Amino acid sequence: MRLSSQTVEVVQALMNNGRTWSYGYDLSKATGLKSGTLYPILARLHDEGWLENKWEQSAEPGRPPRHLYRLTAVGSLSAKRALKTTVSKTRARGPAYEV
Amino acid sequence: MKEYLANALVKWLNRLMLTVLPSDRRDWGIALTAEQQQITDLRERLTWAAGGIFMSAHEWMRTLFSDRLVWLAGLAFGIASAVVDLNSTTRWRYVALLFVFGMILTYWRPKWAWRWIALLGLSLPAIVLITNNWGPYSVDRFDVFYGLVPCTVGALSGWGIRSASRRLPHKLTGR
Repeated sequence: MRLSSQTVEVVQALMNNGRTWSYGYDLSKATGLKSGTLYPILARLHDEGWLENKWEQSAEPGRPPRHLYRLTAVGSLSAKRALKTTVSKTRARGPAYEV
Repeated sequence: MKEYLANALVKWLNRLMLTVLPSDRRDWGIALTAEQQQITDLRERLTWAAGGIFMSAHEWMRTLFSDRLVWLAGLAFGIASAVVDLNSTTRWRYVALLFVFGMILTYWRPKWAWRWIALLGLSLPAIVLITNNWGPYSVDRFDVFYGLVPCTVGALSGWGIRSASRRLPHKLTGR
């Protein structure tokens, strides 16, 4: 899978959280990405099998359930491998994006 | 008043996003709207909801152009049938080709089959416009769009055959 710099940011935020579930809004704050950029990335990661998600019922009545995300075992491995490739490519190209 | 209007706009944006989003991405849209409950700042909530529209547009384009191979085949079929039409004395060859190609493409990818109808049916008008060679269509230029009819019929046939073929194994096995 081709990793854009924004996808790298999302993957890294998810990797930092390890096996802990993350909310979309928290990921948005951690990466600085707007919802319109973040959610297509999350959906694509899910399509590729890198991301698992679940719904969490809200404790407060009247509030809708929230979606939670974390990397799958396969996703975690693939992400590490892809990030390494991205870093080596970036280094070969010269000073640009640093992972 | 300002808050009321902003909230109404957020609701409208959410509804628009969920309407436009392709069905396989609806859950993601619902997830995006659910997060708005965590945002207290009105402006930020509006930006978040507007992001949903961006996501819809992005996902819509993704679905539209996802089948690259079918698009390429459709383009080749469209150009081929247009060339046949411009070099033929009868229109029946063009009609037959469009019918068959419409059927093949829709059988192959039935989702949003109007894409294949448009691609095949508008290939001839596009080529005629680009080359400025109206040929037999110089008398009535709107005639150049008649290919859309056999494409539509072909697409409907392709869809029908695909539906029937999907039902057939169940009938044979009795399941």
